[in-house]
Amino acid sequence: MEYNPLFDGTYHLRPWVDSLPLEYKYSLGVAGKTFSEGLKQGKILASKCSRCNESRIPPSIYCVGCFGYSDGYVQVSETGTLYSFASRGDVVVAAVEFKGVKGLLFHRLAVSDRNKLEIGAPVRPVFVQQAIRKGDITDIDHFELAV
Amino acid sequence: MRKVAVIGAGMTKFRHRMLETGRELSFEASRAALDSARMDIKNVDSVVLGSAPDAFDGLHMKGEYLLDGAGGSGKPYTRVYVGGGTGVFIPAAAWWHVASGVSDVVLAVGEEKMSPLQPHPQYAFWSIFDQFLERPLGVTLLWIFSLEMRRYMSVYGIKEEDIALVAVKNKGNAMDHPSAQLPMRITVDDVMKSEPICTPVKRLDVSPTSDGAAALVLASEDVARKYTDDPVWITGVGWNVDTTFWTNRDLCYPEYVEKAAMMAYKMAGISNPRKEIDFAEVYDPFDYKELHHMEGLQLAKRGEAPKMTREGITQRDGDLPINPSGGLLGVGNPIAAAGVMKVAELFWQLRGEAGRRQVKKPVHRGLAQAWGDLMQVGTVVIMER
Repeated sequence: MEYNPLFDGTYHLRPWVDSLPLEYKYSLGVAGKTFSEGLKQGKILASKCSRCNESRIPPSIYCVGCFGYSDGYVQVSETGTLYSFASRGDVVVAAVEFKGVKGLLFHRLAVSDRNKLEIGAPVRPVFVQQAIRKGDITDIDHFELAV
Repeated sequence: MRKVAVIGAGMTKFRHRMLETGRELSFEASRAALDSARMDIKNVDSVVLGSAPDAFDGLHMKGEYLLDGAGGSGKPYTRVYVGGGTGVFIPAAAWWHVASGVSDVVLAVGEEKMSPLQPHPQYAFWSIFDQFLERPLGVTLLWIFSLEMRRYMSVYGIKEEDIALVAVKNKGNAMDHPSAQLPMRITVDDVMKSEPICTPVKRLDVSPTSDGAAALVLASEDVARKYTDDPVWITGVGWNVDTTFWTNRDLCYPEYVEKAAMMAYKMAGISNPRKEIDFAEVYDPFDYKELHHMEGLQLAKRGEAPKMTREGITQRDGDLPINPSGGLLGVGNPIAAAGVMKVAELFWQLRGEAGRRQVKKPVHRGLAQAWGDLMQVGTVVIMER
């Protein structure tokens, strides 16, 4: 490889280091609270719009399609399919698609043989034990291949 | 609407870490653009500045912070922000100031200083992810770009080697750019063997983090003709934004880029972009993104941008040169400044002032595009001479 000498730069910094202690307490929101309660019960909930005949994750109080109020919530199927995946070291992450639902769910994927992974493979969520669920996305420990 | 010309451009070097503050960088680029237009700050009616997340600097109100360095003191001043798409959105916003008749001369400045954030600028992007669904999983931008790259490869049967050709081309083109941060002569093999960052993305597939600034001077037709016999015109602008839920769109095709392009093509009266655009500066923070964006811009059919690249069509001496500047992969990626650099490249190429970077064929119409936020923004500018 041939590098341009400009790359090395000739700048000598005079640094000043600062840090800011910031912490946030967010509200999950109206649809987020319902989604959170669903996770505690081992369910992934989508919102539905009967005018557009669509379901979406993450659930929302409004329909992105027609900008009206959503009509409520439906549970997505227990098995989804692998839309895409990526890996770094031991960690594999995935975007998972559910039949009839718009939107993907991002999560970790546990897999024994990475060579067997392919887009379109059936996958399912593995929830942590009910007693230790907190109502957040880590109530799903990971996804696994459903074959 | 009034006709709008670009009559000056300037930029700093792009480097991983610069001694200059953001204000100083903004000043250096603005001064260079004004000098190139043979203007002074007193000739400027208003200033449009763009800079990406405040989190890089840890300075809220970054637009206000940069005000005096960008020549905005005591003038109508606007900061615009659409993430990585900001750089090309800046001249679009400056364009409407002039087209509407609000201002005759506008200074358009893009600044980015990514280096302050420790231990790495990448950490700023934690704050763009959904606090409930994504942050608890430790998601990073590299994860989601890897998901997108794999989806693109899988749907069209594209090989990593085909994608690597973009990095080889752009880093090579940057050898001729005096501001370039990562100019290199490399091979596909070098890209393939570079450190895996998040499979399938490897070190040489990715643009660097950078400090830098770039600026343009826009003017109305009557002012432009007083300062130059040879103005370059902005004939189309377009922008489009999709949801921050990156999970809720097709990762294989950037529809928001298509919509932004269509808005600009309509304004410029372009019906066949592949034939009517002579060259393009397409947003390339990752090598696969150049291909992805060529397709969204209708400069290639879906899944066929890799083939055009392999055939040499996108080289500087090809039929449709893409990123003759060296792009973000070669020149560097100080986010908002990188987009302005792309529009400045249109200016220099159209005026025949690009020196060793000048594309071989005669060029009359060029397009610059940027993309960003959470894979959700398309911004487009078309320029003609």
